[in-house]
Amino acid sequence: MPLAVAASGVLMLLSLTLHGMAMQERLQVGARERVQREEDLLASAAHQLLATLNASHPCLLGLPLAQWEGASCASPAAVVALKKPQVLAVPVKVLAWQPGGNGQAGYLAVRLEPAPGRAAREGRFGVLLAGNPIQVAQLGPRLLGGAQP
Amino acid sequence: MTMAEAVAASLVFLLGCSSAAQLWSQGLRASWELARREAQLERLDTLLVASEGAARKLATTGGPAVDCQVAAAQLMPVLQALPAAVSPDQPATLSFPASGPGLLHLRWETGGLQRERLLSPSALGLCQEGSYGT
Repeated sequence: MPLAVAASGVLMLLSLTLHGMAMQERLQVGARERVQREEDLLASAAHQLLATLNASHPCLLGLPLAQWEGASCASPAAVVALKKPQVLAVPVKVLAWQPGGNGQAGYLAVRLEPAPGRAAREGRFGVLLAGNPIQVAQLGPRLLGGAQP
Repeated sequence: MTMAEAVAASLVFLLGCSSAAQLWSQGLRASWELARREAQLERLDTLLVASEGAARKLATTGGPAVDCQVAAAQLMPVLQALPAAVSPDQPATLSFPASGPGLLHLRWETGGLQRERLLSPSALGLCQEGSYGT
């Protein structure tokens, strides 16, 4: 009898371990899906903002974010909408825009606003400007290291 | 050991084996399902990276188009050809949901999973001046 109980216990323990590993794996896959969704939203936010600036407010491209408020080429309401857009139905905030000079890349930093089940997440992208009038010539992939320059 | 003890021990062992087998089977099934899901996520990621790479390559080789609508139209067939080029044995579908002006909305789907991104042809160097036709 003790031998049967011990053997059953060992088998159950092994099975529970396998089950636990599967659950752990499920959590990891779920986390990966969340991260990928957030990466997509951050990249989409950068593309959406730069497309809007290129098409409707190219004058703001040459100005750092802090100077957008006083720019004569965009209304205060337009600046507010540019700084806090909705990207694929998710609220986003533009944290920083710093144009580069002399052929150097500037950068754009955006943040996904926190929501139930999602923490705030930031991303920074290198952006090259060119032309006259100035336009976005190249939006680079997401830079590592968060939103800080 | 009496007969009663032997029967009881056998029952305990059989019950243990049965429960363990069920748990083992559930764990294996969950692991297999997760491995399949992970492979699909990996594939979608590859397609998304390849999509952006294809757009950048088109901008480099073709030069910027004057009209961004034309640039987006040139990019679409290149993107639609990606699954065959990346991994022809695993199907994936690409759609272009409606998006705001100056943007191309990509949605890759496979096995119930999806990735989607907005791309700006002008920000990728595919066209100039954010110009869009009607």
